[in-house]
Amino acid sequence: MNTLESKQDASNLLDQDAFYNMVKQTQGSLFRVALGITGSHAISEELIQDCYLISYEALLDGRWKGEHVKSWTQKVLVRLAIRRMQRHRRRNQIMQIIGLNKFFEHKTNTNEQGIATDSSIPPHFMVHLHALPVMQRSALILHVVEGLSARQVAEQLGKSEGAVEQLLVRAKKTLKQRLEEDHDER
Amino acid sequence: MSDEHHNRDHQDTMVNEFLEEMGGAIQRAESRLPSPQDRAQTYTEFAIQHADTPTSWAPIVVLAVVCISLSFIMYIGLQHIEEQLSVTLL
Repeated sequence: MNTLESKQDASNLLDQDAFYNMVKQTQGSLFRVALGITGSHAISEELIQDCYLISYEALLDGRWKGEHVKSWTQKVLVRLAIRRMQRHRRRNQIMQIIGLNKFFEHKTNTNEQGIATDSSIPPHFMVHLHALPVMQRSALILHVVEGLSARQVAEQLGKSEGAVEQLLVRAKKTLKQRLEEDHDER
Repeated sequence: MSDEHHNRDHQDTMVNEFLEEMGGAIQRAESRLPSPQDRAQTYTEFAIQHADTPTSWAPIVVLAVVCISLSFIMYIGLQHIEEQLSVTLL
């Protein structure tokens, strides 16, 4: 399931029908990535909406020129999702320090661990997945769910290929430990 | 040693199964979404309606030049009036 080989580029996307067709082609992949990173259905929808808005503005400004649509939109979405999760984590930490986390849980659709409660993914996946730092999680989702190579993941995350390989190794190692502990407890 | 190997294989299998099931769960979640056409329409309309048009700097620069010129003319004019007044009063 490769995602970066779409031959369509950004030219002529300012036409409403062309933009609609681009959205129709790319929204599935963006939803999978956003849901994997954030774990929340509602946040994923919001991020996808922002991603297309940013992409359209980039077309108007001429900032988006040659890059293929799937690669561009995925890159924008991943960066939005990472920023969102980092902000969310910082806010949760502050709320925990001042003891207001219970008050805000229902507003952000998350539980005490910051895990989404509106997810359509079974909870045990979410618990293990959200034990990973957001960069490791993003790399893993792009690699496993979207089938991107380490080089392609590196392009999307703005990191080197070596750094991405490290992220993937660490993510799998953490998962191994957690799954093993889970297995022993049963 | 063989126990260690066996254990490592077991852990690898667990992780691979987990990742495979997780991928499947995400794809099932995607397939439960409402019609792709309707969603694409909503996203497209939102993007087109809410996009900020790029800032054109030309009118801003012209306005700034006009404002500076007017201020300068007023400054010269006021100085002239002040000189005239002081001459008249003396």
